[in-house]
Amino acid sequence: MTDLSSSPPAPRPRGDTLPGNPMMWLLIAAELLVFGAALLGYAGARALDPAGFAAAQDGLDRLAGTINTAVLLTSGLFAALATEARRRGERGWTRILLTVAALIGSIFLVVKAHEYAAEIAAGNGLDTSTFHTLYFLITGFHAVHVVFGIVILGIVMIFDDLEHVETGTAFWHMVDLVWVVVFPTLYLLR
Amino acid sequence: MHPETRHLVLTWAVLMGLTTALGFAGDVLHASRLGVAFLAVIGVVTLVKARLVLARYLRLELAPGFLSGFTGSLAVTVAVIVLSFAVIHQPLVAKPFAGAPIERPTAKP
Repeated sequence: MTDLSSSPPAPRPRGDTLPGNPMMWLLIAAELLVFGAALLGYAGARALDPAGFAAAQDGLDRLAGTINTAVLLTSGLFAALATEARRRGERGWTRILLTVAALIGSIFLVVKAHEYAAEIAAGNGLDTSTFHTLYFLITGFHAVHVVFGIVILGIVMIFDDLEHVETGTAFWHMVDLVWVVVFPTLYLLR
Repeated sequence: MHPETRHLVLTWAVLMGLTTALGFAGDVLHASRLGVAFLAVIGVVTLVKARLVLARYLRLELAPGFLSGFTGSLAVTVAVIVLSFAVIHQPLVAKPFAGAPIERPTAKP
């Protein structure tokens, strides 16, 4: 699996340099600000109607949310392993690990689709309550990022320079990081 | 196994353990209300998980300034959210199960 035609790059020195393309880090910072503002807005709306939010939140499938957290973190592991493999010059392994990361990531979307189907079957939609509006908007926006992330992982499987792989997996880890904060806020805190 | 691979797998195992702990702290199988201590545990575990993703998966452990910046801004966000839940706490209101007899006040003789 090792590509002997190109020697592995030297390890990145410790210091304040970011892996991948700096523009991706600007995007990551912007995305974290957007999701942070959305979650603070959620907390503010909940403060105005704690009883309504508590009743609506009890309808969520918290176990599915926990499973999806494990799914994304596992997918993130394979993305990180892919980056390490690319640093060592193992291009074949890099592609395999990126494929596994994308496949596991798609499980997140399947579980999320089941959750949405259950909510809709229970008569809950975007305009059912303030809680449901925020729930569908925040998790839907995140799910769109998961779709983009899977597409980006597919792109860097083809254009597999180290910088491209670092940039693509950085986006995927951002999606992971956002869910690490979204899940407890929407599903657990009550 | 490469040292970096072992490092990442260990991080993943810790993240899985913390996710399980979060499930217990958040009482995912019941529609209970959580005490303030549990809210605090959820906040702390969330921040530890976020820092691990930033440091290990995103490799910001090699860029300590950025790691502190990202962690700090997330900490402020999570702290404000958890505090808002702790201050405006919603006690559990028991709901009668379907089919339960409705108790009516009896008329005094």
